[in-house]
Amino acid sequence: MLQDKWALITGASRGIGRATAKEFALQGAHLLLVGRDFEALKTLQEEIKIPSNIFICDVSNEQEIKELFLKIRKITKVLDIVVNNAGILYSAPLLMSKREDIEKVFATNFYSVVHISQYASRMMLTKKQGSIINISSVMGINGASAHSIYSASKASLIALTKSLARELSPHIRVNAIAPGVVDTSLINGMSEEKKKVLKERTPLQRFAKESEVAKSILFFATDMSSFITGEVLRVDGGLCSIEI
Amino acid sequence: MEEKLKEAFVEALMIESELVKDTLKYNEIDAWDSVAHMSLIAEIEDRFEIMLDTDDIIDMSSFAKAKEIVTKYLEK
Repeated sequence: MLQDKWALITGASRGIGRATAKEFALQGAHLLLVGRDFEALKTLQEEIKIPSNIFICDVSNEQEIKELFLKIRKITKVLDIVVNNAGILYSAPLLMSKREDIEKVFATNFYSVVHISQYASRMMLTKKQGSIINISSVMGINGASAHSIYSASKASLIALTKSLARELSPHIRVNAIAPGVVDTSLINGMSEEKKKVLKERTPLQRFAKESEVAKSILFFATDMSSFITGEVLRVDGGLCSIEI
Repeated sequence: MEEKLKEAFVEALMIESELVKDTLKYNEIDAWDSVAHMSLIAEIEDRFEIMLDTDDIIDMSSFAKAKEIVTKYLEK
């Protein structure tokens, strides 16, 4: 489904990004894998067994994003798909949220998507087609106590997605995925009791597998969603109606 | 360089080449609105193999200014 398509995935070294890279590789995409962990990216590159390029980039840094795209443009003039997956989880009550931490969360979770979309959309416009997929969160829809800053950063992605879907139309589609709790390293800090409660509250009675989120990303990346833009797809097993 | 830049304007804005003069200004013709500006930036970056800074994208308010900006990048 992605033969001859160039796909850029941020946060590709682990979790949802890594699973998405594997899913896209199965569909024959040319992969541009972005992350901060060279060894993890190298391992992934070996595992997927198709030609791909890896880039070390801290997406919270605008200058590094610019340098990333300068490198990418030396490899390809075409870019078909961008998965803005890189993000950090931040858990702290509002009164204990420091300005520097808030800025770091927004730099990674929001500004990175703005800048990557700025550069990527220009490449997509030369071919007059493209799909941008932003990874938000159900917390960006419902909010969550002790996660106000993280939730706000993910909510801002939803507003950005809906606005860009209009602004970049008709050539570029922009959609978002809002995962619920996914079985990745991000939930390592969660207590077993909390995990149990969350699973019980989730209608599907379990956490999402990374591969399940990756498949929903694949949906937005392919022509299966060719008439969908500005959409936010919850991949949460029905969790969204309760507070996390 | 000027001819190449002119071609980029013609292609991106879908206008006749006679219209592309130093006096051609952003938002003064229907064909060069904010949406077309994005296509123009994409076309210029593609043709000259450069990557423009956001400040320069905002500053590119006329053909004359575009020449000045692209020249700056080519001399880098």
